[in-house]
Amino acid sequence: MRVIENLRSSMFKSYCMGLRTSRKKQLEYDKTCTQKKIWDTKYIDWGTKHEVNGVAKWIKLNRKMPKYILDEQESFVIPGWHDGIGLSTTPDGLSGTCLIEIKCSAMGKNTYSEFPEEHLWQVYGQQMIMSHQGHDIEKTHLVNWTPKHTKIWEIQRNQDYEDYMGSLLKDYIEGLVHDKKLTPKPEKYQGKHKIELIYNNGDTNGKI
Amino acid sequence: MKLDKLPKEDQELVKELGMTSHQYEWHKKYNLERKSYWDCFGKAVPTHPTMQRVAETEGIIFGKYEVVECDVHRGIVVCQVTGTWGDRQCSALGEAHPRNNKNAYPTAMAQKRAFDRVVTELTNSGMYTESDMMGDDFAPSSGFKEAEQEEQRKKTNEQAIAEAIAENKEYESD
Repeated sequence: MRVIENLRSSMFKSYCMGLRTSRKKQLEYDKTCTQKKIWDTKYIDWGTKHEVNGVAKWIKLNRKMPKYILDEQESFVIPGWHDGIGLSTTPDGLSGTCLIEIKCSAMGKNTYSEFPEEHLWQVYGQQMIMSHQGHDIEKTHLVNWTPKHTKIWEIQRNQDYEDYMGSLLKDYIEGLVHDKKLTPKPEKYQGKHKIELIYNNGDTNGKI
Repeated sequence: MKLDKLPKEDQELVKELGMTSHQYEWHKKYNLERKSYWDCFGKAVPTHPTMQRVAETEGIIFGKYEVVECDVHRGIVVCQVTGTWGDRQCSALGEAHPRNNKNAYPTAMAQKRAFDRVVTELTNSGMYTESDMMGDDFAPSSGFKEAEQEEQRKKTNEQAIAEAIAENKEYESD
């Protein structure tokens, strides 16, 4: 049987905690190399179209040109990280020690009212993979772009969370490779995060 | 020159475009406006019409354009022009080729670049011009296809970012 080669950071939330797609269902997909069917792609299309606006906003504010943006995006892989299965990530940008992740929320209707913890899996996952690949990563700027308002959160690296996430990913891989039974909802992380809203040019969560 | 002594809207312009005091003096001398510049990642880049206006204001006289090299099928044009301003004279080359120009008019681009460089030099603007920034004239030469593709990608990205910055500004001001 052919299983997937790498676990993608954008799916860590499903692999580790069964968010959006249950761990069991995700395991079925990954064992057969199939993908969850997405019927409504308008949110994805919106995000793809406006990623450039999010990157441009970050550049305008920081006056720096990041690497690995837009057409220069690159995938970073830790091959065979555990039991022959690798980890991969494609960040939206990297500037010095800061990763950039763009989120174009709600078809541009509003920004997130609070930092969505769901994104932490991807953010910490990217930090972990990029650090493993020799990049000195200290933080991520999550740019939540909408046409009217933008928020930027700064998320500091969290080794404790990476260890926690790493054990859940290993658990998932063992389910994938050795058919180990998975806990549907593992215990939540109990530690603290260092997350700060560093930019907000709207006061109504972007609601027009 | 102190920034806080400038009119408020000028303070904003100087900050937005990262102008030096020398560049600001040049800007005031020719009574320019925000739209006289292209915002290249926070750097003030005068547009070609701006340079034409400056040349006209100063009465810079241009000689004939001399074509140094021209192969329009391969998109390569190099031309030279001399500008005279009072007792000062300056010659400059303008070049366009696939590594620094992606539009379909290399002759016009080479001409623009030569013109802008003469005006820049004679009036000591202290800025790169739009026609120069539209390509990366200062990139190291490379004969490798991959390197050329990489450079093309960079140019495409830079242009996409510049357009998105302008688009964001419009969205936010609506």
